[in-house]
Order: sequence, then C-alpha cells, then structure tokens
Amino acid sequence: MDPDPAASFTHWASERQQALLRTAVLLCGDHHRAEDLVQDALTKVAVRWSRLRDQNPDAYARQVMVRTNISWWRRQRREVVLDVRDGAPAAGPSAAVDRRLLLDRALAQLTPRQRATIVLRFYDDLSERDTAEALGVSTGTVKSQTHAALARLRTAAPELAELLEEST
Amino acid sequence: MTQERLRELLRERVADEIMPDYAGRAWQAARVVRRRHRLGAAAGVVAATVGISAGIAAVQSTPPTAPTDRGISDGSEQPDTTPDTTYQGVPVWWSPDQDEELALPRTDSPLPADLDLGAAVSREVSISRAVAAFARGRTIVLVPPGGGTLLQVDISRLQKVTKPNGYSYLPTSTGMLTSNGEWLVFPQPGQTFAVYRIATGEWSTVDSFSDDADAAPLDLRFDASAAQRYGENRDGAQSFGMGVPLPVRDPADYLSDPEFLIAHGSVLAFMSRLTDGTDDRFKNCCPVAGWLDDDTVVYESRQRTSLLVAWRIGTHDFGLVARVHGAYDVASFALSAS
Repeated sequence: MDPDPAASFTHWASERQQALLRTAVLLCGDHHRAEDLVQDALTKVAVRWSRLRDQNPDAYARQVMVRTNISWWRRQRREVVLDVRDGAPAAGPSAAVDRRLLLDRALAQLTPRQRATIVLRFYDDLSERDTAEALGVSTGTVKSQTHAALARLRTAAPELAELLEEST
Repeated sequence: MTQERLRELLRERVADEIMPDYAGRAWQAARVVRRRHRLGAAAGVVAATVGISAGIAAVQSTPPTAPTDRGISDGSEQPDTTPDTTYQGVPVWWSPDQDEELALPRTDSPLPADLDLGAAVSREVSISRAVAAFARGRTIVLVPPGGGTLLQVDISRLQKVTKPNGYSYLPTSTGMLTSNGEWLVFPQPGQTFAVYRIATGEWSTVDSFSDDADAAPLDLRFDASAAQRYGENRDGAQSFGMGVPLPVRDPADYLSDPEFLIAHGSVLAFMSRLTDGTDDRFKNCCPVAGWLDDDTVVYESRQRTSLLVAWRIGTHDFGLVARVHGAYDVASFALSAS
C-alpha cells in the first residue's frame, strides 16, 4: 500500500520526465509537440498510478507517447513537419549543429512507426520484445521495420550513412 | 559499429532538451480526470434514480423538486486552474462531453432553466428586451429576461438573401439579436436591413446598422487558420470548427481535431464522445452565447437536447444554464457581463 501516491508519482515523474522528453523529441522532431506528448503521457500514468507504480510506468509512458504520436501524424500527414535546411555536414565549430540537422532530415524520411522503432531500439536501447509492446506490433514487425528504417536512412540520407560509416 | 554511431548521434541530438517540471501538474490533471470518471458513473446512477423517482412521482402526483445547486463556484473557493493538456505550449481545458453536459448542475443566469420553444405565444404582452432569440422557420421565439412567457414573432415578411454563389437563405443568424437585446436585425437584398424593435413590435428598414458591441480582438496563441470561425465574437470569445489537432481526453473515445472556443486567451476543446450517430454533437456545435460575468463565458451546445453551458474560463468549473426543448434553426443571445 502506497501511503502517499501523490509523492511517489511526483518523485517518479520528476526523475523520468526529461528522459521521456528526449525520447519524445526524437519521436516527433519538434520540442513543443514533444512537451505535449510528455504531459499527456504523465497525466495518463498518474491516472493509473495505483496500478502502474509497482509495474513499469516508464514502459506505459513510452507506449502512450509512441501511439499518440503515430495517431497525430496520421491526421497531419499532408503537412511538412520539419523545416530543415539542405547541406552536407561541415567540419569546424558548427559540425555538431550540422550533424543535428542532418539527423533531423534523415529521421523525417521515415514513417512514424519506422522512426519510433529506431528511437526505441537505438536511443532507449529497448529489446525487440519491449519495442514491439510499445508499438503494439509483433517482434517480427519490429525486425522488419528496423531493417527497412536503416536501409531507408542510408538511401534517403547518404550524408548520414557516410557519417555512420566514419567510425567503423 | 554503425548502429553504435547512430546511438551516439541520437543522444547528441537531444542532449540539451529540457522542459519545466510537469510532475505536480500531471497529478492535478489526473485528479480531475478521476473526478470526472467518478462523476460520469455517479451521473449514470443519478439518471437511473431520477428515472425511477419520476415514475413514482407520476403515480403519486408529487411535483418534482427543481435543482437549486450552483454549478459554477461563487469565487469563495480557489478554483482548480490546472489545464487538462497543452497544445504547442498553450494550456487547453476539456469540456464535458455531450452526455456529461446533460448532467451538469444548474447555474444561475438571466435565462430560465428550461426553454420550451413550443410553448411560445403570439405577441400578447410587451417586453422591452430579450435575452435570447430562437429562429424556427419563419418564426422567432423571444425569451424575456428572468423568465416569463416566450413570445413568437412572425418574420414571413423577410426576403431571402442570395449569396454570390447563388445560394439563397433566410437571413436568421447568431447575430440577429443586438447586444442590448432591444432589436432584431436581418440583412435584406439591396444591402438594406430589416429591423424589428422588440419593445414596440414595429418593423422598419434601414440602409446601415451597427451594433454597439464591438468584437474584441481574440487572444490567439497558436495558428488556428485551419479551423473556420463560426458564431459571433462575444467580447473576445469565439468558437472554431474542426481542423486544429488539439489533444482530446482519449482518442479512442472522443472525436479528434475537436472544435474549440477561445475566451480571453483560454482554450476550451469541446469533447465529443464517439457514439453510434444518434446522440452526437452537431457540426459547429458550440457557438459562444455570451457572458454571465467577467470570468464566465456561456456557449450553446447543439445536440439531441440543446443546452446552454457556462464555463468559468481557465478552470474546471462548468454549469448548466438552460435546456432548450424543441427544434430551432439558429439562436442569438444578449448575455453580457456588464
């Protein structure tokens, strides 16, 4: 029995919300939209806190963010979500900024499900099974989506592919 | 390793992303959701109990007791101002859905609690002004302030107006009752206006007409260009149709891209519970009707039983102003805080 559920939830949420925000930014590519996703997810976790606190609230929050973002994208698919400039990465002080823009542009080439697969597998380091649970698909789909997403990143964003090969 | 490099890039991309601490607000928002769930369940029980009680009352001929509780808090309590969600960083509150609105507690207003449009009579008494006007075909039903007999006004003298695209329509609208409640005004062909003075029952024709109330500028904090405005701008409050992806309470249960209202910078998204189509909200369901006071806006809720609902802006306080019995085409209101 949790004597103070508000305190335990607030403790968990304060610890985890910045990590959730970073996942959300990678999922949707927009900071404001990412904040909305996190706030929505935290509220839904809070509503179910009595059941989730002893389970895996992180997984539920990620699931809410992933699925809400995919639903949102389906409604907005005619819109151009990202406005990133073209150009190859340059050396020097702006290289990090250029890498960031390059990554944004590359991720924008993916479908939201492919994008979520990449983020959950390679940023959140989730297993195929946990990724499948978050997306509501089978592990086979996660495997095929991962393969398709990496292939698409290489073909649609060759500069990123070159960058990815640099360290090999 | 390529995938390891991808990990590094992803981590570098979001390393400096931070947001304000939302933990406390999330807990508060969840309390509101839980309370609404409980109220929804309680409303069902109450409805069932009322149904049974009504049956008993009919047998015993006992008149029902009118509800007297006040839905909108009177300001003595600190209202809960935690928004339900945000859109592009802008706080958004969720309205009760169409079923929950029917179960809201009553709120005092210049309007009677129940408006039976079918009970309106042809002009037999005089009134100086009206607080509401309902168009029903070629008749207008006027509602005097504070209750009393509803009056019918025949508008068959009006000519239809033709749009540039050739569409002709009877020119009744949400703006036909002037803000002071003293006149009905209808545009007519030839850029003239037919004007009906409520106090005397006299018609006249004028070349130009200007309401005293100016539409206050809207405090819009996000791009709402995808949604069409409808109804009137009542002192800085305006309703918008669908088109903006405001978050809804639960996408599985509620219509996405909801219609919404903006009042003095606060955003109210109208929750429309998905049904089998028999008790949906109407399209352009919720035009702004006016204000009860400086903080409480009233909107019309067009659904199977149309309602007037009050919202204390920026809070979770809602109250039922009136139920409208009988069909109508469009309504216009003179509800002003001043």
